[in-house]
Amino acid sequence: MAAPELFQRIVEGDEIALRDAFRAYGATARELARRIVGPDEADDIVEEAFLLIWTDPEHWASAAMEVHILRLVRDIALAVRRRGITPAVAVDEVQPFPIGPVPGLPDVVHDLDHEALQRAVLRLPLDRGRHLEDAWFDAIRHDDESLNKAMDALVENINSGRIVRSDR
Amino acid sequence: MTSRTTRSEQPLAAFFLGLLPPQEHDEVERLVRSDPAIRRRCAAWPTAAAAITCATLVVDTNQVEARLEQRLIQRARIERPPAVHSHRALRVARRGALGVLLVGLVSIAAFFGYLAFRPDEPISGRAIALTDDGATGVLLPKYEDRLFALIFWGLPQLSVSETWQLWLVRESGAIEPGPRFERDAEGRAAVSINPNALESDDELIGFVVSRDVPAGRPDGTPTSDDILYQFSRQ
Repeated sequence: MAAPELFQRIVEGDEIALRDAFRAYGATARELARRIVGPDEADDIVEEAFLLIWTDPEHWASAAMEVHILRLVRDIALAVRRRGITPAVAVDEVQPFPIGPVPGLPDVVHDLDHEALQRAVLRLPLDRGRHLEDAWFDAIRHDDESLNKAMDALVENINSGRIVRSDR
Repeated sequence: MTSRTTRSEQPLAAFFLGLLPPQEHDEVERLVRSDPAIRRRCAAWPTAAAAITCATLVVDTNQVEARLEQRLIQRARIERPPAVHSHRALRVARRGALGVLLVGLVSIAAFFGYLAFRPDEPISGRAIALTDDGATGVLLPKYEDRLFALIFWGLPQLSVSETWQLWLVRESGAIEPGPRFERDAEGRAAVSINPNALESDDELIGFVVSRDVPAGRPDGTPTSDDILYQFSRQ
């Protein structure tokens, strides 16, 4: 099911949609949390992120729901790692992302060919790819101009058609 | 081109990646909100950032354990009781389950008689799928008399050491044990709730069904990994 429809059903309070969202994005979210904090607290972090969206979906998410889930998981995980607090406490420190993602873009988790996306990231110059990974997973801020160019290059790769939609 | 060069000097990616301290974050956010050209340029960045996860990590989508899903759903029902009960829950029930329900209703009507349920009284609860393999339950609330009963069908056979356990969910989030019950040979069961359980300042807001191993669990709250479903009283 497409993310916009899932999001709308969650707004309406349909818990089956919450379950479907967890089944669609939970594994990716958990791997992201594990990458940042390790396995011990990853599950709790994912749970808190999904609960935030369930409790107040229009505050914490949008139709591009998987983008918000991954963003929340990443922000909660970073707060846990940096400050040594529990995921439940870290939730109080995260903020909703104020700029809505582009509705027309394909779902990151569902619609993109992950292997092609992996190749696109690997095609980035080494320093740019590393800068993006450092920033996303570890909140390391390299020089801003390099980071901006890396983001532009990745988006260009995604939009260039070299990333194909998977056949679902 | 000059404009592009100027913008690239702004910490835009750092902003979209959440790397800025609060004051700088606010300044850049004001800039982003006030400049359509910047917004156009950066529109896909949040998605691109999330895509890095998918591109960089090897994710086995079959590795999300059911235990985690059950725990999430359990907490979600307490945080925000569902407002919509998807018809999908009914569709996953095995074919014939509704027939079993009707037979079950008639056959246990006498059992519910003392709770003042009449056989012709409409079912005011919703049938809820407990598991994906057809176990289903329905809550029959009798609000005016402050009585509750639950019936189940399609319950699977448990091991010798297990029994079915009902738990009462309070508004505070506390979960206390309710009655244990057994299924009959056809997988049906009926449970009534002691009216005294309703007499509390901590209002009863739902029910949880679980497989229980009495010998292996001290009295108190249930573990989360075997909770099947919570009926919301609302």
